Amino acid sequence: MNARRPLSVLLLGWTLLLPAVALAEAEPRLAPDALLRHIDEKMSFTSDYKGVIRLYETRKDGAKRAMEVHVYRREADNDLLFLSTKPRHLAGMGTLRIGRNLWDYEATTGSWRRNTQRTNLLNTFTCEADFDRSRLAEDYAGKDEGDDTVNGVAYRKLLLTAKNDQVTFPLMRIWVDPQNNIVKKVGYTASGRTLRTDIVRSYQRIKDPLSGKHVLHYKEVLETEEQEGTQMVVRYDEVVLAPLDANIFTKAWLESRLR
Amino acid sequence: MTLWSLTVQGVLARPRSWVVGLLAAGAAALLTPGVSLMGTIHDGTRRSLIESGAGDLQVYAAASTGTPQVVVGPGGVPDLQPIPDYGALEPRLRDLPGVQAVVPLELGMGAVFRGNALDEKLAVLREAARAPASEERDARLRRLGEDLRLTLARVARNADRRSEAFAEEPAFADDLRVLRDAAEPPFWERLTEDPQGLLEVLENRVARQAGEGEELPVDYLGTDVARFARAFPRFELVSGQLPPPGTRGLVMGHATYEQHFKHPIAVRMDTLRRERERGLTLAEDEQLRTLVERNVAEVPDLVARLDIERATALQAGLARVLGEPGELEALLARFLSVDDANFDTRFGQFYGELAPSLPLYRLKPGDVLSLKTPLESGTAVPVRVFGTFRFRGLGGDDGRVNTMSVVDLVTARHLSGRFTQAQQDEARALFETFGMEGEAMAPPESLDAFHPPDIVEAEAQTAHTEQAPVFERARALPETFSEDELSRGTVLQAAVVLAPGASAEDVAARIRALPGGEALATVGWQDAGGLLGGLVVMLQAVLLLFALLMSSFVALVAAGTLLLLARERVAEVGTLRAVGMQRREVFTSLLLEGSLLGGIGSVLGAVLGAALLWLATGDGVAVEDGSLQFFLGGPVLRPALALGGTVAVVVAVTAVVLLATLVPAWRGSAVAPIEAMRKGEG
Repeated sequence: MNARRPLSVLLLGWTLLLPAVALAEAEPRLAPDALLRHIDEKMSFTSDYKGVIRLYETRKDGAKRAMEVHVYRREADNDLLFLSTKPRHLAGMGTLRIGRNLWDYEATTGSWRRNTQRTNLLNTFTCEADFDRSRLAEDYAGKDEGDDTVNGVAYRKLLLTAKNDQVTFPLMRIWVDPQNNIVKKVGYTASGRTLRTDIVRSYQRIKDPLSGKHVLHYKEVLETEEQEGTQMVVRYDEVVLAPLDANIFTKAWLESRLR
Repeated sequence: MTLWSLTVQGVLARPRSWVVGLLAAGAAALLTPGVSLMGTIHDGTRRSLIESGAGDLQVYAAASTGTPQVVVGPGGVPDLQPIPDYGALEPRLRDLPGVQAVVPLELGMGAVFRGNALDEKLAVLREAARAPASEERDARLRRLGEDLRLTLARVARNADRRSEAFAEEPAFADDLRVLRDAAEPPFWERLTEDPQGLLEVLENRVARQAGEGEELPVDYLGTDVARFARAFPRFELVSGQLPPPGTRGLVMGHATYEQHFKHPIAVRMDTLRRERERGLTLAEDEQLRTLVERNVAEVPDLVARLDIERATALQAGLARVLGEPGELEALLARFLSVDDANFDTRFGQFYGELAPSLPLYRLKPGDVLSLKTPLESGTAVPVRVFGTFRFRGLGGDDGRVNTMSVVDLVTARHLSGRFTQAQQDEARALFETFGMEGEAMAPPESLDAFHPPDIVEAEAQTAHTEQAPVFERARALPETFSEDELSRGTVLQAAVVLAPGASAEDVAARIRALPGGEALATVGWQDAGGLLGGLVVMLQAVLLLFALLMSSFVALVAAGTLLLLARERVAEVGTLRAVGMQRREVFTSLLLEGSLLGGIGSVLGAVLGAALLWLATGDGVAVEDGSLQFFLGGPVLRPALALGGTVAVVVAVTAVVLLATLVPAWRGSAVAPIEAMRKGEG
């Protein structure tokens, strides 16, 4: 009787852990470009996307600030809108991508400015690509750089070289865990100078109502800007996967957010 | 006495030894004006900087990692902490003996964005469309629409010509079709019913075909503008006025106004005139011809920025001066295709007859700029331009220091992106609302010790249940400010102007002795001038290097010459030793010969150098170059003979010759009488 109890406990524990073990099972090792396509695929929604991004920034001098930004994205038309909602003095400010135009809206002066796609957004060091759908395979060519073992886990390391000049980082290095999820990203200039390092702290798995597939979406990312030493934690909340009105992606809609 | 007469006889008997004196004279003749010129440059730069914002001292918080500057350098804006309790400190600074004025300052790198020609016209149309629907609004929209349609027709014609020469990408070809449609009247029929819809098409499909916009730099010193103008005697208002007390406003550096806000075609016409006055010709100088070509190439952009009235007036003016009618673009291109024969006439016509119809400046006193500091997280701040100014005698519109603008401190503080107390309080409240307060206080993580990310199951909403957010418009900064607002805000640095005769070191010591003075630091004009101040140090180093090289040359040639002469004097020295002269006396005599040659040579050289300096500069030399004017402290070079420097040159050159004489004198005095006799027999 006494001997059976530990065994049954072990079996029960194993049964409970089984789904988690299955989920954490390593994925097959893909060729670099196939891996990038695979990551894009499992991180892309088919439905229109709306989410709330909350971020806090700590500057090297200790100054801190918090921001809340609403992100609207329509994959079919490549339209994208960021609308800053907090703090008060930045509320109503936004960035709108329509076709090949990236517009910045300055709420205090009511002025618009057409920008390049490599520019920083909303007075932070984030950029358009951070909140866009994953486009690694379209924008980069990957090259294996072997494995890097950190805290006992072997991560696959890849060097990505940009295929076009519209990207924020001409060079990027990514660390991918055995489940083919990005854990760390480092963006570089073309000459190899480090610009930014991102550590993905957590993902959220969300069912896309349109495709019926489970999509992996960032939950919390730590971003560090190299030159100024500014750190930012970005949290992705309140995801809504439902059709968005085409009127949202117009200057008039963004202007009408202000009374 | 015997030794001296022996020395003098030795020098007079051997003219070849005079080479050493000549060398000393040459070195002194070069170094004397060099040292004087260096002194003039040092003094000129000192006056220029002190009188144009740096003051004699800059006070700042000792806790800062950077040092205060008054001109933006390659390193950008220095990292300064606010001066603790500046409101209480300023009256104490003013009361210190030797202090004449105290001016609070804050250096910033501002910029103004300007879209392309279509962006600007579309912004005007959008502004008109925002007005509530009315007969007047519709009439204005129609007027602006027709103007824009004509502009688009010109842009479309240019685009067609371009696409004949270059194959277009399919996406661009699609946009080109939209442009062609927009140039036709049917496109504009729904303007008054759906202005927003039309604008969306024009702004997103058409506008970028006219090129990219540009960012115009407006580096500034945030200050109490009126006090700044009083404290720095070179401040000279060129146009407009100073902002009235308690009013936010900017007075633009006239060099920035001319370089960045004047139409580039006019700037190039000015450059052509300047260069031709310097003697260059279009026929011989390719760079000048390139300027003409660029002017012609930019005609479409200029024409696109004109409204109907101006375009018509300009066309009529061009037809008049060229003596034949034609299309506006063709006439303007012909007018701007200048050569040496017609340039002076065309230049006069450009400013005399065409300028009233041209957008010669992108802004004028009274306009409001949307100023932003691109590297800071602050928002854009609307600020009225009250006028333009320059520092008198410091390089006109080419001078670096005249590119700096001055703006009120309240605007500068907002531009800096420094968080106000209210913004800090709000940030703290947001951390709590977001549930991030614990993480916000955590120290930065190591970027190399990461773990596999957690994966959490989540559920997305599948319907939009919340209304889209709507906000009260963030209130733009008011146009006026109270004295309290001005004095209670942060100040990063303050210029201290000293009374005549006061010593900067003494005043700096008094500042340190003030209550709370240990939290303050001071730097002089040279540090505050940044790169401009550093150039003086660099020039001094170059002069020192030159002096060292010249000394080495003088020493080597003098030593060589004297050694040769010493070998020729073996018999003479041997005879002197034979008649009882001691070696020490011979050595001293030879050393004295060297000193005499060096001393007389350097004195004569210094006199020659001083004469050359006087002959070359006389009552002063006019300096045209703006940068040189800054370093020389004004438009006239008046190098004064530096008496102390001249004496130092004479002493140093004599000392070098004396040193060079040591070895030959030692070798020459080492002759034994028997050797001299043997040499004589041989």
